[in-house]
Amino acid sequence: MTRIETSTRCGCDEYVQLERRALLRAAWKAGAAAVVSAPAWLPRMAFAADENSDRDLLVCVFLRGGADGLTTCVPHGDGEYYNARNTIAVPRPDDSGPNKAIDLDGFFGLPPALAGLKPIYDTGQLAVVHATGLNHPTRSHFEAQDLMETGTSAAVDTAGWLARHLFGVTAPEEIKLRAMAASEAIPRSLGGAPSTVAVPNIDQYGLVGRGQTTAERQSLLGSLYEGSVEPVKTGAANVIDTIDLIAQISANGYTPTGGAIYPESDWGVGLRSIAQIAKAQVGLEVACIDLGGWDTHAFQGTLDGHLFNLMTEFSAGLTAFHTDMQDCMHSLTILVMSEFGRRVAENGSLGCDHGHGNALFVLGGNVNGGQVYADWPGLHPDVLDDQRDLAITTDYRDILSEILIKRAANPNLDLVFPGYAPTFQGIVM
Amino acid sequence: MDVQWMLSRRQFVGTLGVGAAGATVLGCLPAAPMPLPPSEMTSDINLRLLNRITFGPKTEDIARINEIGYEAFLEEQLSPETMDDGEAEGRLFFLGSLNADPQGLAGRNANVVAGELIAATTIRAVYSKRQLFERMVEFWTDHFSINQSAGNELRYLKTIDDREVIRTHALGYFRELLRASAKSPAMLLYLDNNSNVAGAPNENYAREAMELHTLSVNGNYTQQDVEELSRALTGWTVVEEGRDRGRFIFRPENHDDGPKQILDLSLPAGGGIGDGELALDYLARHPSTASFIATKLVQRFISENAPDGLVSEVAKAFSDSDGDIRATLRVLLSQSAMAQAGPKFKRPFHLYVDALRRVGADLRIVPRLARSMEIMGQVPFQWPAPNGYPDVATYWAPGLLSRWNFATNYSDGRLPEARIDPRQIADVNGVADPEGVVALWDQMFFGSEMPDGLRQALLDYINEAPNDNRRKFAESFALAMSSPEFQWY
Repeated sequence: MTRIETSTRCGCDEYVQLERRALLRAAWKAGAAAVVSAPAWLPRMAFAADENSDRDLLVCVFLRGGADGLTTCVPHGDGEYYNARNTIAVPRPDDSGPNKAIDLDGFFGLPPALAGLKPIYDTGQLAVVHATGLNHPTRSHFEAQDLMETGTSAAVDTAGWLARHLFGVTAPEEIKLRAMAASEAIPRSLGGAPSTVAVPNIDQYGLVGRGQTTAERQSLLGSLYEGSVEPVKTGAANVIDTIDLIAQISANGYTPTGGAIYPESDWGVGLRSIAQIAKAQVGLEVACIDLGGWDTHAFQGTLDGHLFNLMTEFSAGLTAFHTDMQDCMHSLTILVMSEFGRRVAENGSLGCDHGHGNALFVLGGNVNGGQVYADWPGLHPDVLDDQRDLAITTDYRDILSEILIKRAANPNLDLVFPGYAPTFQGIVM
Repeated sequence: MDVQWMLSRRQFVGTLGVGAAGATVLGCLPAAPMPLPPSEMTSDINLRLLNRITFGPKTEDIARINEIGYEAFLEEQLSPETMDDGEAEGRLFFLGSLNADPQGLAGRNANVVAGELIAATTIRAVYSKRQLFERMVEFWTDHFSINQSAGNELRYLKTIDDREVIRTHALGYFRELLRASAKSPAMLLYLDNNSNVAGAPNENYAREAMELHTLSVNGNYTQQDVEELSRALTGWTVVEEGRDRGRFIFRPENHDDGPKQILDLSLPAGGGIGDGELALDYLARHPSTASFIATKLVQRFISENAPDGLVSEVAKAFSDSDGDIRATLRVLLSQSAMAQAGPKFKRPFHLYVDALRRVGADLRIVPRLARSMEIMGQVPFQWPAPNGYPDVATYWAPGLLSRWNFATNYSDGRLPEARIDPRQIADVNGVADPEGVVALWDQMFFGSEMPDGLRQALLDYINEAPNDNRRKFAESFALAMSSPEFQWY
């Protein structure tokens, strides 16, 4: 019988592997001939002090599918939690069994799979915000993601919130890569953003083919696309600039700081790609990365199954990134969000249906961490949103706004969240 | 079973720029990108139809439509059962899992079964003469998206779904398609209706059936309606053991037999399996469904920015015919509709198949056949969310680099499943000079409508190094495929 196997992850295949030295040669050659614009300015930028030092690098992690905030940050002090979750709850920290919540503040705790985040919490660099999210009745993944990523609570069709942020602050014109998505596509939050590219894996970002003609082919592609239409015209120009930029960044290889070991998944490779580009100080202001798989309607496996494995993966990547970026924490803020939390009561399939309020994580050197921010509405059936779900007491835009104004030096919040007057919680300094 | 969306290469990214004009509320921002018609977009109505209903017109397709005319060609495509499809069928011969029943599939290696379905889908797209049928299979595969990677059983049950749901009803009646999908074991497992039981409903399928399969998110249903539909579908599950393992079954003991109210449909108590069937029929015939399906069809086949008037016409054809997909397509693909066509950005699968079709490449069934598609971001049946692969240019445009590299790997003969050599193609066609070579690529890739600027650029590229002509022939092939114009159809 013919045997075929589906390929489910990206690995290295000889035919897509870049011939790195050839690529570099080509890039330099192109620069010398001034065919493409990047290399002429790059050496100066690459070795200059960060010109945007008043702005943190903002890393936005989106957990696609609706992460269960009652698991990622367990309200173990609320007895209703255990009434609603008979079989899939994370036990109280004082439980006699081996699997139980790791207490954070006497009321909330982390599940065992997120144990790696506890030391970061203890150093004060990690804060959790609970009962937060999008104040909109939708329980649709796609609508909720669209609304959150465009920074609204009403349906509109505009650029993403991060794109509008980037338009609201200025950057030197020679900066070619203001924002990146560590994925194959650009998420809605960065839709329409200037100088933005998708770099799923920094090690595979370049033209394949005959090294001798790489520069010539790249130049020809650049000119062909100059006469093209949007969105491919700008997309191609950004890709071509980034090929040159990444050739320079990768020239000497990369060793993560502090012995950080990233997972070998897309998640790990993406985070490492962000770290490598961030450390090159080429003016990167925003990086987006997604982690999917959170739509746990059935057999969610809080302590030993799918959700446990997913949270473990999430934690392994995030802690590796934190270790790798330890020398940059003074100018780094990481935001972790998801489109909604899940139903308070578990369903009949050992999972949870779509819910509302959720937990959100903020990590960075200037975070007032080591605490859980929550105006906790409680989980009693009488106080639930739509009689079913965790109510939202903190609009997600409060958190985003505070980060933008304090950590990204953006005074033009009305441009990002039109008509919204945020309340700050003091989550970042 | 565990059927959550698993970690996947593509992390369930929200699509960009779904809307039409992309107006922004902020004057100082650029409008969301809206593709403008490339000036090269053909004005030849026959070629336009071919571009839309095939995965890339072959020379013989162009000859056929010019011989019998637009209407006759369309009618022929709407009656695929009358067309001989020997070449495609012959190439499927060795894919033993395609026609197996669930019992037979369960005994096989699930990864092999899943891979064979991907191979079959690619083979059919490349070689089938029933191109419109295959394009509609692709459309419904997205509409009723099931990720075959989301669970071990799904790796083989999607093969059943493809055969008995999508391919059986692709040109049939929407109502029957919806009902077959609701009873499809792959769908029941993927969206958890298999564990939807009286007293402890699981609303995953019910919500997506309303939001993604019928009414759309703007269909004015409430959380209450979702829960009522869930109740109507309690007891719809999959046999887990024995001879009928992997088949649909209705278990009355798990069905909530109370009365239900779904929008303005009242279901009295005691309806049994009829509850779900009536509810699905009701949804299939709802005006919001006609409008939603019409919008998606127009966006897929005519223009990303669907003209309102055309959407109304197509929705009317859908409603008037009680969801007859053929009747709907006659309006959708009419000459007056085709005159409104705007440029569409090829998705990676389309680009891949197109590249093979134009050249007449010999697709071989090899391990990891989908490797190139994976790098470009679209392996059939592996989109991680239930809404199907996006079909908007803004989503795919950031992936240009992987497309350029695909073209280079292909022309360099580095695809194990489709080894070609453009120099040989030139030889076989008797061309040996730069002009002849570029004219050949023009004929193959652009139906002899290659823009002058591109032609000149390719000629200059070859002529710049006269001693390196042969290798540059191959590279110019890749560059033609990498050009902006080849990304659209």
